[in-house]
Amino acid sequence: MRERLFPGDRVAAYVVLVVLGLVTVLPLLYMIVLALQSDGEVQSGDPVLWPDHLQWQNFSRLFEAAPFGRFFVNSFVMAGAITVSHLIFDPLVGYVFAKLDFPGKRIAFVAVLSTLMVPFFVRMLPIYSIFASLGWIDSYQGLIVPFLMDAYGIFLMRQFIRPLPDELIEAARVDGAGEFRIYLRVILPQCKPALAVLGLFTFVFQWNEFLWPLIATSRTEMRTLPIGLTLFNQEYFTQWNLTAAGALILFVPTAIFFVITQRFLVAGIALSGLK
Amino acid sequence: MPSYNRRSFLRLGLGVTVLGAVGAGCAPAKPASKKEDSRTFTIYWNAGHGYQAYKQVIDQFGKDHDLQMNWQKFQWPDLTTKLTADFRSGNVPDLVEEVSAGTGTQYGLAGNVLALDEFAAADKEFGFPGDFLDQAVVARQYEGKTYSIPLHLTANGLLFYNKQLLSAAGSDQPPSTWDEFLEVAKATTKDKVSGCALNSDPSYAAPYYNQQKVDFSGAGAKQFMLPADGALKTLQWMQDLIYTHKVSPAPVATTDYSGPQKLFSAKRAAMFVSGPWDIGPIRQGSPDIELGLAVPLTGAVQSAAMAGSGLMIPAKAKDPKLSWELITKLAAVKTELAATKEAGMSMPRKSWAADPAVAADPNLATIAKALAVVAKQDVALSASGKAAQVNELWKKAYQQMIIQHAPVGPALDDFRKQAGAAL
Amino acid sequence: MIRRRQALTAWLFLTPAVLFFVLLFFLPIGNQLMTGLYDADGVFAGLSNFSRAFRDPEVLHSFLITLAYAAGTLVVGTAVGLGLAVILNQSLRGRTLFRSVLLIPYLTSVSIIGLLWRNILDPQVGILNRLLEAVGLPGQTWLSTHPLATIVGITVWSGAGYTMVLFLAGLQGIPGLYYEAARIDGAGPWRRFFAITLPLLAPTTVFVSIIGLIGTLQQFALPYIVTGGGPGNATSLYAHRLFIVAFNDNDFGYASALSLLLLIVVLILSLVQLRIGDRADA
Repeated sequence: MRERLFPGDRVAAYVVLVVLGLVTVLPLLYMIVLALQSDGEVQSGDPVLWPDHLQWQNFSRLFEAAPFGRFFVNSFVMAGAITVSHLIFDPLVGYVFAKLDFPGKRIAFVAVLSTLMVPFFVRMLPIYSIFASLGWIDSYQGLIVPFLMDAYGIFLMRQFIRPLPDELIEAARVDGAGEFRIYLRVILPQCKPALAVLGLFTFVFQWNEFLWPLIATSRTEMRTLPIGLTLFNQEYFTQWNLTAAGALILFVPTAIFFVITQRFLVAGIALSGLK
Repeated sequence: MPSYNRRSFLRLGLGVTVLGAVGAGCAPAKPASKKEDSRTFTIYWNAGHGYQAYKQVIDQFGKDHDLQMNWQKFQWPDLTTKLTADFRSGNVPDLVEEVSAGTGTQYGLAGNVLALDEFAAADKEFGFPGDFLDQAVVARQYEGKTYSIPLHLTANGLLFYNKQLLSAAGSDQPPSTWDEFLEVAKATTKDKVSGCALNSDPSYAAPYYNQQKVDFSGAGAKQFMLPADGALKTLQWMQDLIYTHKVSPAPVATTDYSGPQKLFSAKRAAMFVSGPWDIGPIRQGSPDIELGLAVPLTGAVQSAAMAGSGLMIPAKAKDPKLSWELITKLAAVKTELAATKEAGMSMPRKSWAADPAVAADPNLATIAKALAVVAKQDVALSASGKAAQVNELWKKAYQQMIIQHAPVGPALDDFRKQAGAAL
Repeated sequence: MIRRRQALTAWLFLTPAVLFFVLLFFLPIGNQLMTGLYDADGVFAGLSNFSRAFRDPEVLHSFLITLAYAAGTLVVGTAVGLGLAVILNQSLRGRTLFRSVLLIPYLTSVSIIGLLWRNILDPQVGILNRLLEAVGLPGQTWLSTHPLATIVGITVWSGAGYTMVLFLAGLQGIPGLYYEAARIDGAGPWRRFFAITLPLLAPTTVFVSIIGLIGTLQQFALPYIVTGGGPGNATSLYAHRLFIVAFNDNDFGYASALSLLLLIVVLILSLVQLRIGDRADA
């Protein structure tokens, strides 16, 4: 039995959802329209709702103009390796803060959290100097190492692991299981939804990262996709069709990752520890 | 189920190992590759200037010297950010395109780029500074030293007009004075068409105040936008175009400068003042517009504002001699003419302007006339190292007057005070 | 004995993290903050960079508008996210689709979002005004008339789905028993929302607002890409100003001082929020 808030509340809910859904999705659909315009339509000053001829070749133009395949691989290696590293370390650290008792825990946790509060570009230049002297510029390790783990992921995992019953751990200890084994066999299997979400957010964030790959690479073959996209802005105007086409390519892996992890996210189970 | 989970994590671990191996395997910058590094020649360039003419020169240079040419293209703000980080870490490229005159001076006085006078003196054939337009050279010198070589030379201040719209309003000739400009703007303003369109970017105000003999800065004396009455007159006139005569829409503050060009292309503006870079997009986007290009307006004087990039060599470049050699090839008149033919870009050499191909082109002839009246730049401001900061303050003041309709007098006073304090 | 073993385990597990955070966060940040003691020409300047910040009208302005931006984004974003979560927590047809669609902007790169909205909102050549024009509505010039609110709007647009997902998780953690009991007591749906849902969501709200606050106080990309901080300095948020001071003005000492001040402010605000959250918890 469903009760009503007011007559027609269900209709109102749908109206709100449809309106907000359209507001969300229309600008993104417009990006597809932009990607399929000709150069002339882009420069004409008149917004084009539907191009005269769909310029599918804009996508192939991208790959001719610059080694976008290589950019794609670079982005994938960078975001992929960072995501894997987060999946290994964030839950481990989160578990320590959630379930283990040790001197210095409070201070260590606040110290980790405080790293969330400094914009990246504050630590960027010192890291760049060090990496330059290590010869890590234009290398994958240079792109990856500054982001191996972060406080957000640790915080997320800690919040998720905290409500898991302590009895599970105690029982395993009584059985004589080692500490790492407890973490691996007892805790981690419970965390699958949270790991899916952590993986998605980390991947999306790193996949779109701009500033560090800009600074840390100075060879075309080490560029990532978001840097590659800026090649299509001319000095005094933006080549909108190519930029939008690139943006769509940029979106594809994120979308795939989202579809895979979507059931954990929208079902809400993954984040239920945040209460 | 637990065993399934364990297996999935084992697989995860395997994945990591593989990825790690891929990462290590692909990483080109290993200590062992130091030798290869010294054969790499890195150039930072603007993404809009990647002409074939330059590519050919650079490729040939790589072949001649057995170098791996690493030509990196950026948007200007990204190039500045990257270069700032490079200078601070000492990991620098071998040749850099300079965003505009004065930037090199600022870097040079901080010890980050080289003075190029000795190279130029030893290289009579190159013809620097003799063959280069005076204003473009002087703006790059300070206390007898030159910190960059002009690559492009353009002028902001050309009058773009739509011939059809103007003749429909009864003007067959483009305006040449401020009064005529206002008159034509009023006559062409109807319905959705504005007579003119101002830009949100403050650098587009320069031709107007130059035409009232206003100097942006006299940094030596910590003075800005003087004489004050001329500055007041200029900005008030510009503001009135929007809010009193309503012949221009208020520009919108975005990081995109192409608003007026787009309005013009969409036949929603009859005139606007800009530089040669807008010719291409208009031709491409609206081939049906009969585009007119006229010389800069005359206020108290006829004037335009200088623009155009240069070339500079970082102080820690691996082999400055080599970098200089590439400069001489990129800024050779042959390359200039090729780039002009390809992209319509205008150039700083006198021998370029004298070339028959240039003199015969009506647009280039108009541009050349504008180049002849570009106003002098204040080198002391670049030398102070505060030019970027002062420009940021000017952007704020300009947008407050033009977009937010702030009273002109107090806004200019505020700007003078803040800019003076910054020095 | 067990305690000691646990402490040992904990620090053993933490070793990689300790190494990482010390080497790639604390040392570089500390190094950068040390430059806060030097002026633009590299001369030792003591605390003058810090005292200068308090007298700098641009910095004060950017700080105030950043607070307004953060407050606006948090209030509107939380309200929209919570509203959507409550609606989509019911058994509606197609709710999975709606949930997914609303989350898409969060997965899109912020530079793309910035460029896209800059293009759409342009009053003269953007698509929005042409559509308004076509249906006979007056055009907007929001980027000129309400620049900060527009930036808030874009932020909420891109983040609402994420907030919604967090609240959905929170809602699903509330035991249905509570609602049953309240219903038997005769509480209507509105009363149940304010008496049960809202208080029990407090921990989620705290998380949402802390993460949101940390994000908004560091917002840099949107003003950098959409407005360039303008018109005037109307959208030059604190982190944007910080970036300008560092990379435009080349004054890294001052920029470091500014970032330390930001760190202190965010830390204090977050601790206050945590306190409030804990109290609501108890």
